Amino acid sequence: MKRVFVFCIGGTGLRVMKSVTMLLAAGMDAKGYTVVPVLIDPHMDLEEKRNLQNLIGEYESVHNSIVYSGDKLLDPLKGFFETDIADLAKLNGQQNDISEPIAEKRSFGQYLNIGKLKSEDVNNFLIQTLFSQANLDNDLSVGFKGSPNVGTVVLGEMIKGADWFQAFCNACQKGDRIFIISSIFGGTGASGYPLLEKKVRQSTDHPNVQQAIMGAVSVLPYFALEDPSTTDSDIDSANFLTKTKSALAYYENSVESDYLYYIGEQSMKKTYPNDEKKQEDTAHFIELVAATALFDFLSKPDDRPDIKQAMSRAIKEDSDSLSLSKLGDAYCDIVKAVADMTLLSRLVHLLPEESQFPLIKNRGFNKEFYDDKAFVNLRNFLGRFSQWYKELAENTRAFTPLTVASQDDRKAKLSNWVDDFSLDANDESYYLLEMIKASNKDKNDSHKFRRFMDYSYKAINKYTSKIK
Amino acid sequence: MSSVDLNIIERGLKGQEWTAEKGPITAGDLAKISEQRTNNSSALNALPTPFARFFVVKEAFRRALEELKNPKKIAGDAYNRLVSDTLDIFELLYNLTYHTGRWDNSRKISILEWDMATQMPVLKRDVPILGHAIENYIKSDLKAANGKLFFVVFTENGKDYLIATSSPFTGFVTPPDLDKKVDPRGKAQTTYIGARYKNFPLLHRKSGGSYFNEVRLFGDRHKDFKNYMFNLVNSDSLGKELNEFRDYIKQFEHLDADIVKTWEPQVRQLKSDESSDVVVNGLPIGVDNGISTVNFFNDTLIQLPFRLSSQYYRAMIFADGKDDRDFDYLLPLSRETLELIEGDFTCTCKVTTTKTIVTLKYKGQEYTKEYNTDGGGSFGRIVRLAKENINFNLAVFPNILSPNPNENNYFKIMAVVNDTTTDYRPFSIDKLELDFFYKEEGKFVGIDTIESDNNHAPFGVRPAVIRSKQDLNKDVDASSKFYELFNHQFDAINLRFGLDSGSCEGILLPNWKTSQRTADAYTYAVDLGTTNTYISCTKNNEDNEPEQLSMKEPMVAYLHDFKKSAQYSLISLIEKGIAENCRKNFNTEFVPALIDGSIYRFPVRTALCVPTGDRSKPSLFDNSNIAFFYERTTGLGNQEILTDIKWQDSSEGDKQLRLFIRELLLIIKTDVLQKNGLLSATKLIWFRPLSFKGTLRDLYTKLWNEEAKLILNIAPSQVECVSESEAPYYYFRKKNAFQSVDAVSIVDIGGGSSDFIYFADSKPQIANSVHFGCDVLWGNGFAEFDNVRDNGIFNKYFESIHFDDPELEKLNIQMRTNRKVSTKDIINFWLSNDDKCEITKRLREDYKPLFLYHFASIVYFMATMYKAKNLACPRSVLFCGNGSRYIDGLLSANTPTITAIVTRIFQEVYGNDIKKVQVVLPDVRKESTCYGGLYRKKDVEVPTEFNFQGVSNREYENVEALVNDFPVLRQSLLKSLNNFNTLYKDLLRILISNSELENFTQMDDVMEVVSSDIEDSLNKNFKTQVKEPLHESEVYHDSVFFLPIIDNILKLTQL
Repeated sequence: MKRVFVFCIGGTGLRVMKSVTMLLAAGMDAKGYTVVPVLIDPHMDLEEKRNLQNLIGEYESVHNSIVYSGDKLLDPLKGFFETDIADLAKLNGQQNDISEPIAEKRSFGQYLNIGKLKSEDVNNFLIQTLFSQANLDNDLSVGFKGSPNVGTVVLGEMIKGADWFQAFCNACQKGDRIFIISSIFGGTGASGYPLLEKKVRQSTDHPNVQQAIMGAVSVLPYFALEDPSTTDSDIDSANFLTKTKSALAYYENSVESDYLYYIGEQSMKKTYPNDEKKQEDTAHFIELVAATALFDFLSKPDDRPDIKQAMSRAIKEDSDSLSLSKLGDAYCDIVKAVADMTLLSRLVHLLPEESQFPLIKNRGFNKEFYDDKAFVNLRNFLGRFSQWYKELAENTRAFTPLTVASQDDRKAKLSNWVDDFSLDANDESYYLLEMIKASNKDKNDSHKFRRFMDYSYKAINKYTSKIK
Repeated sequence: MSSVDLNIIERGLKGQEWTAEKGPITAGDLAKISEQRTNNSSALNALPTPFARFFVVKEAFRRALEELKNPKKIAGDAYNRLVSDTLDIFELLYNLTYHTGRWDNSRKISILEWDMATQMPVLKRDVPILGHAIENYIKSDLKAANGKLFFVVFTENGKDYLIATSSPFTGFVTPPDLDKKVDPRGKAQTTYIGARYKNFPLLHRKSGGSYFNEVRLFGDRHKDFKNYMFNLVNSDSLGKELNEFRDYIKQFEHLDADIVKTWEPQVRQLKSDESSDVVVNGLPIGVDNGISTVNFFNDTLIQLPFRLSSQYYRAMIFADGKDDRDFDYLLPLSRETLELIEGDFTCTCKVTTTKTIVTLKYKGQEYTKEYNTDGGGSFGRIVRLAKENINFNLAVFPNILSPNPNENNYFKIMAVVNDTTTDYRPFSIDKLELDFFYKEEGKFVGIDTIESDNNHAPFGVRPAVIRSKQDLNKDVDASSKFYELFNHQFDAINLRFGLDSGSCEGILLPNWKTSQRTADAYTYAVDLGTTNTYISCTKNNEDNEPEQLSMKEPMVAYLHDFKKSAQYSLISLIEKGIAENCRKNFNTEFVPALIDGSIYRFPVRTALCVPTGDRSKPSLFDNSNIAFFYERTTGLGNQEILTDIKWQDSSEGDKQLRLFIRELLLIIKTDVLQKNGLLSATKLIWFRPLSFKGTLRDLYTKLWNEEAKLILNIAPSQVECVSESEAPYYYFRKKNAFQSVDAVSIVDIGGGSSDFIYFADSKPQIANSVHFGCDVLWGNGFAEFDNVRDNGIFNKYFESIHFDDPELEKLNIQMRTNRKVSTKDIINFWLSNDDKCEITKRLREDYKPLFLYHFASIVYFMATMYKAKNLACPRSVLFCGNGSRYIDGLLSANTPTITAIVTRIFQEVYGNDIKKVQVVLPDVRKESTCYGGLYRKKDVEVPTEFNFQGVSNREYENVEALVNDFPVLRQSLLKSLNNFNTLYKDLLRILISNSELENFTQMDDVMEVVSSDIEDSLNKNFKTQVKEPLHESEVYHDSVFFLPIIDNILKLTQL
């Protein structure tokens, strides 16, 4: 199985990976690649990171519930949770959590041990040239506070001897791909991305790594933070563009990726609270689009391009609320995936209550089934998905291609589930019927959860496949 | 409808799918990005490399260029600050000479080097994480630095501030902590981001404003700097990494009228502290060397409390006359000015009620600076030494140059400072510093101080020596400090005072008088006597009557001016112009302003003034000088006087003697130059007593030859040694003083010795010298301890002799109470000031028998000697030497009386056939030696030295022979001495009969004194003065005849 190692660096990397996970769950085509996420963030207590790890864990649970029959690994099912998201540590047979690659409680200066230099050492002047006193005093437990020059030193050291990087090198096989997700305007991502690129390309001991097709999405500024003077934060989003311009100028001559995806906004449409310890930023459309870069990357040919490709993307209309028509046709796959997943969510919500559903008997989709761990995991995951979509829909720009009817409104009209698009399924019965049809065509009676996921996807896809 | 790019820039994508149609975002694309705020430089670290700072500054220049091309594309405040700060570094270094010329010693700029090859191991060892990061990135990101960086470090009061690091992209980058904090209201004073720069001082630009404080882009800078920078980047040698930086500056070529292609660089290459050229990626960093940017003026203008001598120094011209002023200024020209200025210039000043405006006119340009009493702002500060309670003067010796530069090989500069501040520590002389410059091809060049152990430097300044430190409690009026220049003249002095109110400095430009080149040659005769020293000279060996050395012009240049007056002597006018509290230091620690022949004259006491305490390293003026003031005035409380110089044969004594000779020769040198004489043709004659034998004679020869070579640069062949004894004969024969020259005896009575020489038919026959001079009258016989005061004359008068002159009385008391001062020196002091204490009158009244005994013993010794050698009785006896003055001064002023005494003695020895012996007591007494030396022909015969012991004509080859024969000799001597004593009684009667000794009732006592214990005295003294101290193989150059005589003389003083 081919793998794509997805390095998610910094807060933006985590959030984009969340979108990737959601899209994978929704059935976005990863072209047969197993996705191996590697989360890199020095934050010791970042809830967002734990949430993502939980999300991925739940994804894997659902996925495994589909593809495993006992100890037997089955072919993945097309559609929901089709793609395997693998744990790097487990790939190497390791039990420790190598997704926690870095953790530092000291200041940057203490970390460097600059106190060991004699006061008259001329290297003190070099340090004063490279870093401000504020840099040196930075508490690394909360990241690099938007200072990639600091981050690049710390991450460089952490990557240099890290178990996870060695695990990655050991696991990477010929044909595997590498994808890096980071922002350009912060500290961790901005420093980690080129560092990782450099590290990959310098891995001469691991030609599979060194020669791997590599892609990266560099997220440009797309949100603002509240005025730091009101929160005593060291991060001032007013400088995001300034920083970005500097960084892009530097990247112009230093990018190592075969495909570099840029994504951002020309004007900051959303302002988040400014608290670097929390970074509880809600999901954003740009993160979603950044996530699509991975799928585009995975669709690229196996041969590395002769010229490094700088990839950009647009939407059809400059609108704060994006429906499919405003997004443009190229977003159909995303809209379809999100539509599929939200419809699945509706089905998962209604079916346990649908006592007349024939598959209760035919397929054993009974209470016991719905109380089973696999289904519960699915339901939980879908709850996260719904929340994620809700955030996307309520953010600015708002990603609102759907008109999601209340799940409790059993008579809701569903043909307008996708805005600007008319689905043939007028209501939920259409989907239930298609599930029954799919069941009827299926002679296999084992693995109820796999059956459920198969039938539901086929049912939904029956109507949403025309979104293209 | 076109798509909307999901990007920070709209590039016009056609579709909405991921596409590579527009390629990467380029610098050109970035220009289209509008930023919200760019005033916070902390944001400018957004590059994933430790060397982000370098790229950010590069980006700043790219943006600045962009804005130049299109003013709508605002570079942003933070970037503009980076550009400004970077240009500040270039400007500061360009004007480095200007700045360092204005900064005091507490400030400096250092250029340190960082070399990757040597520093990476240090980083990887001590800070390995950073070391590895730097190693990873520097080769790619800072490749053009070639592994080398320069740090520009500003230091103030020992605290280092990094202000820049070299950058291959922009020449330099400033450290991030030097970036500015943003005041949202835009009103607060600039503060720096980093706490380490909290006390970073305002560094004022040459062109106004201050570095690293306000934003000043290239176009707003001084035209000289702009042209320098334009010239700097207009080169093919620049690395391509400098493109943005170069293009930004070159963009002004068409925008800025200040930039002219004809501008000619006057820069020198900036060097690191390790002397490497500071070249950054092809940019040779320069320092302005041009005159146009010189900091001409000091920040302080020193006002002297007197008018500066226009004769010796080039004073500032006062534009509005102001001739009634009682002050002058030192030239407030900076050292930098001195070293850069070339050719002529004038310095004028205009004094108003509120300020003094100084104007320098140089090469058709005028440069001005204003001073007031407070300083501050653009004003310099006037430092009034009088207000600072500082008395100060400077003396330079000699004050005249030879036309032959090689002969300008010695200059001594004495600085004296007195602080009148009461109840507070005085100004420390340590804080007065002088630096010297000479002119080479019209430019001033600093003269380095040479370490004292450096014997190879062709010329230089010797380390300054502080001789005295003001201590009023110890009678040290002022502090003094000496500088010495060797083998080169100086043409400027920079004076720096470290006053409590701050340091200040100024320039003195001497107006040297240069001797005219003539063919005139002078011969000097120096009679360095035990008590007094004489110098006489003749011009071109002319037969004119010689004179003692005296001068019409000063040989020392003081700072102060004085008006000549017919009512006052020149020397008194000069000395009066010196602040009273400084005067005694100059008078007692330096050479007199001139040898005027009156107040300062030859003969001078053979005495050195030295500090009390350690004298292990005698050095002329630094701690030793001829005591011209001796016996005239008291010295400072830290001084003592050495009078036993001539006969010292210790190494310390050698050095003192050498310094005494050196100062004499320096005075002679000055005299020659003042007379426009040809120094190289100068001849020197020095005199030796006959008793100078062996090592002592060799020592004197060596000293005279060496010092003559050193000071006068003349060869040993121009230095002649003449016997003291024979010299006077030639003078008096020239003066036709003798009735007959068939048989003439010259008796030279000095302080320490008496010399005899017998001439027959104008040819010297025999000569003799005994260590028996007139000082024996004032001494303590053969007392072994220096501080013995057994002399009866001293004890008789010391309580009763006083002076009305308070200074002399003070000196009298000092000498009396100081046990180190001998009775001989005290009585000589009384004699030197006889007109004020009438000592001679009292001596004549009280001690004629003593003087007669002394005189008679000399004549008797002489007569028996000539008789022993079968020489005819002299027809004439001439008494010379300063010691001989007691004959007519104290014994008898009546020549017939003396003649009778002398004749009587010769009759006693030669028989009664002798009718009359002519006695010559010339007016010129001691001078006759000098003068005679000048008339003596080089080819005259030399007399045979006859070592006479008082009886027989036997000469003893050594002490052993003398000791062996002493029992026989003693008997003959006792007989002769008894005979002499009997004769002495007759001589006393002559005095009585000639009414020279009235109411004399002590005949029996006197005779008892001189007749008793003679044998014991002879035995004892022979043992203590001959047998014990001298080695058997030595020759005894004295006469045992005087051994009991000396005891008798002491006893006679005590009678």
